[in-house]
Parts: sequence; structure tokens; C-alpha cells
Amino acid sequence: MIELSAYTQLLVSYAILGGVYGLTALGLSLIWGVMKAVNWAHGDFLMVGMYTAFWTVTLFGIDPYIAAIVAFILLGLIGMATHIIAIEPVVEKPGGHEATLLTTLGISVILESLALILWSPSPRSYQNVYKDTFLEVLGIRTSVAEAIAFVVSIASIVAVDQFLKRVRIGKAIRAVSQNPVGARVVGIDVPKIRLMTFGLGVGLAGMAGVLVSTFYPNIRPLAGYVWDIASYVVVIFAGLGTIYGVIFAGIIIGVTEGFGTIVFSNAFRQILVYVVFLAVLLLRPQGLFGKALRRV
Amino acid sequence: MDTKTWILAIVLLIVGLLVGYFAAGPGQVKTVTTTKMVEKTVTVTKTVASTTSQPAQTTTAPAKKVEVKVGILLPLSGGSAFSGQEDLRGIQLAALHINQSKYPNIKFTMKLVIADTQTKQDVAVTELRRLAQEGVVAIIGAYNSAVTYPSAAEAERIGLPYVVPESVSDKITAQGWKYVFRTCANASKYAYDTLWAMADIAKANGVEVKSVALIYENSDFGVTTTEGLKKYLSKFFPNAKIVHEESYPAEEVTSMDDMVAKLKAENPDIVFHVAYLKDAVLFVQTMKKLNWYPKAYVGAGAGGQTRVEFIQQLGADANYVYTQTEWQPDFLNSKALGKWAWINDDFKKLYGRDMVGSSALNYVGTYVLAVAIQKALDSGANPNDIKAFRKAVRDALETIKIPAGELPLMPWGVDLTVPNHQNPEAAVAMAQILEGKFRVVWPIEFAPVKAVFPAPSWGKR
Repeated sequence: MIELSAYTQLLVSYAILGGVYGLTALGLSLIWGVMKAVNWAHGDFLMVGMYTAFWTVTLFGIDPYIAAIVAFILLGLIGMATHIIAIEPVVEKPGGHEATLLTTLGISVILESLALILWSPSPRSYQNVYKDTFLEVLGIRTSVAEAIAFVVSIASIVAVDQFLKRVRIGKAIRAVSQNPVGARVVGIDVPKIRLMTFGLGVGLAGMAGVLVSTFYPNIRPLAGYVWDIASYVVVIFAGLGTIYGVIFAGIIIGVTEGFGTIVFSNAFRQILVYVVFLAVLLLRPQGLFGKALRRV
Repeated sequence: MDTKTWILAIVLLIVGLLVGYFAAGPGQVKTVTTTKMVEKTVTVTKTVASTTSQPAQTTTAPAKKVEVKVGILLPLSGGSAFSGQEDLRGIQLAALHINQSKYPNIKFTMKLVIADTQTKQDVAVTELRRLAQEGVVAIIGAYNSAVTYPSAAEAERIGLPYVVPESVSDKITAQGWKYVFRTCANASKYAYDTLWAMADIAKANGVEVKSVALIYENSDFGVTTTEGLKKYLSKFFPNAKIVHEESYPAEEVTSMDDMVAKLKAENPDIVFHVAYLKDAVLFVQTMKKLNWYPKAYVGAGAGGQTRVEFIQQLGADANYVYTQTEWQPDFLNSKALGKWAWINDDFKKLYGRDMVGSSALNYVGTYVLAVAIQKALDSGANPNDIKAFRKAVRDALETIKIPAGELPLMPWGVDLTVPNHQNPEAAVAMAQILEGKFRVVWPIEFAPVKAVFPAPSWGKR
């Protein structure tokens, strides 16, 4: 059987993985939770982020963390373009939120297919010093790449939360999410705010993609799918619209997954996550950290 | 939703699907997915020939040559598209060589009709039926065992010969099917040869193996290969215990820390791992992270660890990994197989690199089928009477016996006269990654280098 030290190791490993789930879910939470638009292509934006890292690192030899900034900007722009094409024309129509599901599904198919044309279905990864350097504290080891991803994850979540609370545009984003008509009445340019929210959400997905790619050796056109599912679970688990909740939900899911595999086996890893997820939905439909909707 | 919304949603979906259609077949191959395209019958020989610098000899072939259609069923899109495309390269090259009369014993022209299984069982069965309507005389396919099995069952039902050059699941040739033939080794044989190789290597290095662990991805490939390992383990390692056994979903696994932690606690001498590329890379990376390495880490079933990308992605960390290998360019340096070097040279001209196991296996499968078709033609069967001709090809396949040395590329022969149509001569060699290269280390008597066993720990590399 495994010794206690091994459990501690796994607790740390899976808490870190959970933190990364939080990061991958952050962009989705912003778009889905705050903007109330379903972004089906979330995982694919993550995938584009991964490829951005792969190509900038292998072609130009730059540091993957600089690639993260590049991906944030690049994906932010792609996100805005997507918003103009696929979200803004439908979001205010009756049934608009369901429509965003369909239009972003189209975007998802386009992105995956383009990735197949351009980069082939073969899984790739790139070598970097961060995943080959290890931190060891009290016998618990983790790669620098994973530690950085975890720290960036928490930092981004705090930054986004503060941005929404303190910065003028952030406040406008919240206003739009709470009451678009009211926001318009007080002079907020609602379409512009939505455009920026979507751009920010997709940019964060791109950045998350880069950070994941530093330690997870699976950059391929369908790579977004795994993280996509995790992101959806995390966002619903946390509760729509909560930003801090995402990190806790991510860690809970990561640790559940890790310990589930020890108690049962790896074949159960997804099953266990969904069991916990369903339990939360039954007992707290608003999510762990969400506020219950009131009928008005 | 109002009309405009619907229109926008539908337009986006259509654009996606259109892009997807073109995406499905990158490289030299035009992927055929729709009825219309299948009807057009892709003459692959031309496609391949036009990419070479040499003039296509197919056009200069005598006009009298009989043309025979062969159906190709491969995953050209979906999860296994990468492997399917590699398989197709091998098949296309074989067809090209046949049509260029590189094999004097084969005198007909082979026309390939390609269908995409999308790595889906139902699609494969539908596509097989369509190929049958197209008038193909036989099928080659379909890479994924889980897809090959139902499509082979359908081929058996409609009386269409089906050659399996690469799918390894035992059950494909365990049904007593009359129309299904496998040229490659089955999963049990892979397992048998893996254990045989490791037992030989351990013995040669004077190490007694006391414990082993079995880790495998949980689809048909992993499960059947591991069943084979368990079946023969006591034969080759009579004193070894299985201290850990675990499967995992290869598509969904985001971390392997738990498995490696368990293994570290049990510390088995040998870890047998049946994996695809991404999970194999992640596993080795995680072993390094948790600072543990067994005496031997063995990629069983010739999956991810046998790919060149495995070494590219892991760099020096890939060293000392054992992997089964169906084929290595190394083989062509041997006396017996040197005469087939021209095949790999042609492959290199087309794709700029050496063949790999899957392209070589599919090349061989296509060659064997061609020999059978020629036999059927020689027996006087009329290729225009499609039903009778399929039967004649089946009968011919059942008489195929090609001794080792006469079969292109491979160090083994083909014998399909056995009742279950499972070629008993197909064997699987063992390679170890040493200094960033796959080196054949078993069979020991043919190996150019000696295996490093036990592997050094991470700190001593």
C-alpha cells in the first residue's frame, strides 16, 4: 500500500491540477457566468493557445511564459472577432442564449478543422526547462511548470475578480450582466462591454492553454475537449458568476479526481467527479459559491 | 430564435463542416467521406505518382492489364486519423509498386477505393457496405481493432474478403470467419514476444525478475494486449508476481501522478505499459517528476512508445525505454532484408522520412492481398463476376504461404493456410531507446547492440 508521504504528494499534485482546472475554467466562467452566453468553443480556444505556445517556442525559441502573453493578446483579438461574427448578432434576440450555443458550436468545428488542416492530428509537445526542473519540499515534488501554472491561476483569478470590482470597465461588465437594459439607461455601451468581456474570456482561455501546454504533453486539434469538460464542471460546480469560487471548485474537483483514482481506480476518475458534481447540483443547484436565483 | 438567428447558426455550422471536410485529409490523400466522392473512386496510384519526381509508370502500363478495385477502410479523421493516414501511405506505396510492375509475380492494376471510418464502428460498417456496392473485391483495414471487428463481421456476412494488416485484437481471428485474414501478429503474440524478449534480456544480464506491474489504456487495444501478457506471464517469469495492475482512459487522463505514486510504493522490477503517444509521454514525464524508474519500463503492444515523436518530445528522458517494434529501418541493414531497401527509399522520396511500423505492416498486407488476387486471376476466375471473384480471392488467400525472406520488408513470413487465418509467423521485435535512437535489442542473436538492464535511475543519467 501507499505510504502517508505518497498521499501528501498526491494531495499536492492534484490540488495543483485542480488549480489549473480553475484557470481553464476562468474564461468560461467570465463569459458564461457573467455574460450569460454559452461558449461551446472554449476548449478550442484553449487548444489554439496550446498551439500558440508550441509554435512560438519551437519556431522562435522564446520562453513559454512570454508565449502566454502573446496568446492572451492573440486569443483576445480572435475572441473579439468571434464575438462580432457569432455572438453579437444573436445574443439579444429571443432565445439568444441558446443561439450562442449553436453559433459557438460552429466556431468550434471551424477551429478544430482548421487545426487539423494546418497542424495534423498528431499529438505534440515541446521541451522546456520548466517541466524538467523540480521543486522538492519535505519530499514532495512538483515540476516548476506546474507550480507556475498554479500560481498564475490564483493570480489571474484574483486579478479578474478585482478588475470586475474596482475598475470602471469591470463594473460596467457586472452591470451589463445584472441588468442590460438598466446598464443601457445609465449610458453604458452594452455591445462594446460584451465585446470586451468575450475578448477577455477567450484571451484567458488562450493563456490557460499555454500554461497547460508547459507540462501536459498533448497538443492536438482535439486537445481542448478534456479541459473543456473539466471547465464546464468547475463553472457549474462553483456557481455561475462567481470568480473566486472557480479556484475552490477546481481544487475540489482535482483532489476528488486524484483520490478517486487511488481508492477505486483510474477507470473511475471521471465517474467520481460527476457523482460529486451531481450531488452538488441536487443539494445546491446554484453551485457551491453561487447565489440562488430569486424569482422577481 | 428568429429566422436571422437560425440562418446565422446554420451558416456557421455549414462553414465548419466544409472546413472539416477539407481538414480530414491533409497530406497526399484525398479523404473520401461522402457518397458522391466514393462514387468517383480515387485512383490513388496517380495521386502518389504525381508527387514523385519520377514519371508515373502507371500510365505506361500495358492497356490489357486487368484492373481490380480494392477497398481501403481506415480512420482518416477522428481520434486515430494520424495513424490511419500513416497506414494509407503504406498501402498507397504498395499499390504504386504493384502498378509499376515492381513485382513480376503480380500482373494486374490495383485501384484503391478509400473510405473513412472516422474511427467509428457504425460509420465503418456503412462505409464497408458502400465499398461492396462499389464493386471492390476485397477490403484492407481498419486500424482500430474496435472498428475492424464489426466491419469484418459485416464483410463475412456479405462474403467480401477482408485483410487485416494491423489491428491486433485476438477476437478478430477467433470467430472462425471464412473471409477474414490477418497478416500481422495478434495481441496475444505481441504479448508473448514482449515477455519472451524481456525474459531473455533479464537472463542475459543476470537479473532475476520478481515483480511486474501492468498499466494499460482501457480501450480494446490496451485490454487485449494486457490479457495476453497475463496469459503468458508465468511461462516466462515463473517467479514474478503482478504487484499492480491498472487501466486508465487515455483520452481523458490529465494526470498520472496517482498511478506512478502507487507504482513507486510497490516498486516492481518491470512495468509493462500499453499506451498511445500522449499518455506514454505523460507517464515517463511523471516518473521523472516523482523520481522513480523501474529496472525496465516496457512499451507493450507497439503503441505510443514506438513512435518517433516519443523520442522527439521526451528528448533524453526517453532513453532506456523498451518498446516493441513491428519494423525499424535497421532491419534493412541485415543481409536477409537488405534487398527490400528500395521500398523504404521510395517512401523516403515521397514523404521525406523512413517508413514506420504501421506503414510497413500495411504495405505487407496489401502485397499479400495482391498475391492472392493474382492467384485468383491465374485460376481463371472472372473479375467481372464480382461475387464469384470475391470467393476466388478468398480461396486464394487461404492458400497463401510466403516464406520469411520472400515477404517484403519483414523478417517473417506469411502462412494463411491455418484454420483461423491468423498468420502464425508474424513476430514482434524488441527495441530499446539508446542515445535517442531505437535500437533493436531482441532477438538477441540478431541485435546489433546489447540492452541496458537494469536502467539507471534518474539521478545517474
